[in-house]
Amino acid sequence: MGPKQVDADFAEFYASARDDCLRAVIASTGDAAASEDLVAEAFARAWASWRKVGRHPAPRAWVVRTALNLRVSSWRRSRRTAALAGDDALGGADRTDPGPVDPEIMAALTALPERQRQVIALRIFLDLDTAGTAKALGIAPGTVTAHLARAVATLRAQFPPRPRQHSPAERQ
Amino acid sequence: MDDNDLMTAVREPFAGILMTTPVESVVTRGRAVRRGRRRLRGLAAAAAAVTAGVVSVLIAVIPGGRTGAPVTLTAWTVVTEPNGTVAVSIHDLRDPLGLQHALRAHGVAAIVRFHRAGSLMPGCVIPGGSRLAQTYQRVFVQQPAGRPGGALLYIDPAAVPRAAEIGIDAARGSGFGIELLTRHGQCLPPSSPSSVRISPS
Repeated sequence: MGPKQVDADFAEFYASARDDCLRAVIASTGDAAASEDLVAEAFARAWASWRKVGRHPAPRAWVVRTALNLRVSSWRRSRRTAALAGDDALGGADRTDPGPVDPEIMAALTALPERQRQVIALRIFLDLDTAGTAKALGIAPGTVTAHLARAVATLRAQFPPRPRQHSPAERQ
Repeated sequence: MDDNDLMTAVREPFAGILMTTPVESVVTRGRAVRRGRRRLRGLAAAAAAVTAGVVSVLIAVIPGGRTGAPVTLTAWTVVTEPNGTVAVSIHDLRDPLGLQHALRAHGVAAIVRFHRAGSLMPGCVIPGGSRLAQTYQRVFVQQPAGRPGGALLYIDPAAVPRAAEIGIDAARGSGFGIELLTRHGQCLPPSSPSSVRISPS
């Protein structure tokens, strides 16, 4: 695969995957402001390893997982910096910013435990099945099922069924 | 609300979120990442080469820091210390004749015999307090303090009586026997079945 072909393949992948990956990372982290940088860096690393990532069974999941790992690394760095500075308040990596997302939805998601949030994000935005989600997160498929069931139950409690809108035809 | 409705309710608010970073910026950053990785790999290779070089030099130089030309093989090592003591390390019971020649090259006439496991020959008797015992103490000097894990034997060639040579007998699992022998391979008198034994390193 030549460099031009790599660039073309990657550009196609980026165009098709970038928005869903960003949404998945925002849903996982609750931080819209930092997520774009994380996802862009993850895509850059995907380009740098495209010969491997391009053959990955779920390259979108690879990008999201990399972005989430980068966030953890960034959080650890900021934590060390805060500790060295004697600052008890941790830096921006711990803050969340819902950005343009409905604050009610974001609040419901960020109230979930991190793993449940990640499972939901991968299922909703990347359309991964249980096995794919398990592989992307490095956990057992049974654990994915359990996290998903708990997350759905929690979210359902926060979004009570809305009254169904009847069309005029149904009313008649 | 069924599962699909719930998923839709969560997905819909994200519909307006779009990634604005252009692909060119991502590729530019990707090139920098790749360059960084190559630089790291180069540094790692260089560090490995330097480490290998330093280890080789240390292996060659450390024994040479002592006086006398070292004879180093994997089975055993013979080195003459600055004070004239000959340090002998035996790592494996191989090539006894080579060790014998190496000892002679360092001024120690010796007979070296490696035996089968459990077949160590009976050694010489050294009556306590005798002149012979004192000679043994002078010839087979104690390991210098502060050098744990050093050589197995330290021999002072100047203390070996004329017309005598060192006998080193070793058998796997039975330790080492060291003796002072006549040139005919006999124990220096008085003799009887006993031996000065030290534990193998």
